[in-house]
Amino acid sequence: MQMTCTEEQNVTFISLSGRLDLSSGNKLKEEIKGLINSERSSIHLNMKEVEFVNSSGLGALVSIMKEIRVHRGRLTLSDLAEYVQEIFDITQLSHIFEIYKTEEEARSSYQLAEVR
Amino acid sequence: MTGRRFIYQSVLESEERMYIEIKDYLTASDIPEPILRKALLAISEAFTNALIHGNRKDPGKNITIVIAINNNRLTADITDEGKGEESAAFLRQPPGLWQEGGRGIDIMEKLADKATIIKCRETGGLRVSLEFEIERQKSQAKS
Repeated sequence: MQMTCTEEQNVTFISLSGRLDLSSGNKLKEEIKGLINSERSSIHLNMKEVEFVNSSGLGALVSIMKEIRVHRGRLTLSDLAEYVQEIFDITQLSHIFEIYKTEEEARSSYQLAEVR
Repeated sequence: MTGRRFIYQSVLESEERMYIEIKDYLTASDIPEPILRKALLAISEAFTNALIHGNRKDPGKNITIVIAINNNRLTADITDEGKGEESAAFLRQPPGLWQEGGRGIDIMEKLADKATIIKCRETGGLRVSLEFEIERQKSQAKS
């Protein structure tokens, strides 16, 4: 799994590519938990180039989400392929993740939250 | 009918090799993409369970995957060499939304047309058998 990061105000935008499984999920957890602190606790994951997610990858995302919530931040996801979205749906995890169709929509949600 | 046997050492590094080899084999076997994706994910779930819970990442133990394909059915048997009991799978609790693990068997059962877990006499471990109907899903996609 490859990840590229950009920072915009207090949100870290990360583009992921490759597979999100047991090995890569563990690495992603470590990397993201290293990025989170009290001042920068919101993460957006663009999953456009993610070709495969299994339950271990989903578990890593749940773990990241829990860590982010401890720091009162947000975890948003976008650009899920149809077959990746399906895994979120059948496990009902789409109920707890903030999933946007595009990264732009996710970015707008952060801007709106800031205005409020 | 065609088929192939794949054997993997119970180490984390086998995960990537398994994914690439099984995907290449299913692609070369002309499995329609929606079924290929479901099968690859379900096999991956069984493989991870075998690696972590069955063989407990013991490098001295193997995970064997046997795939058989005929015109209208794809089957995959994933066998570990651990000490698991099939009752553990039947007695499992559904995972809570905030739980990090415990979704693998549910995913397998939802994706496969048939998923069974039995004790394997030869290895002493568990064998997950997955079945996917190829023709039926092809015709569903057309309708």
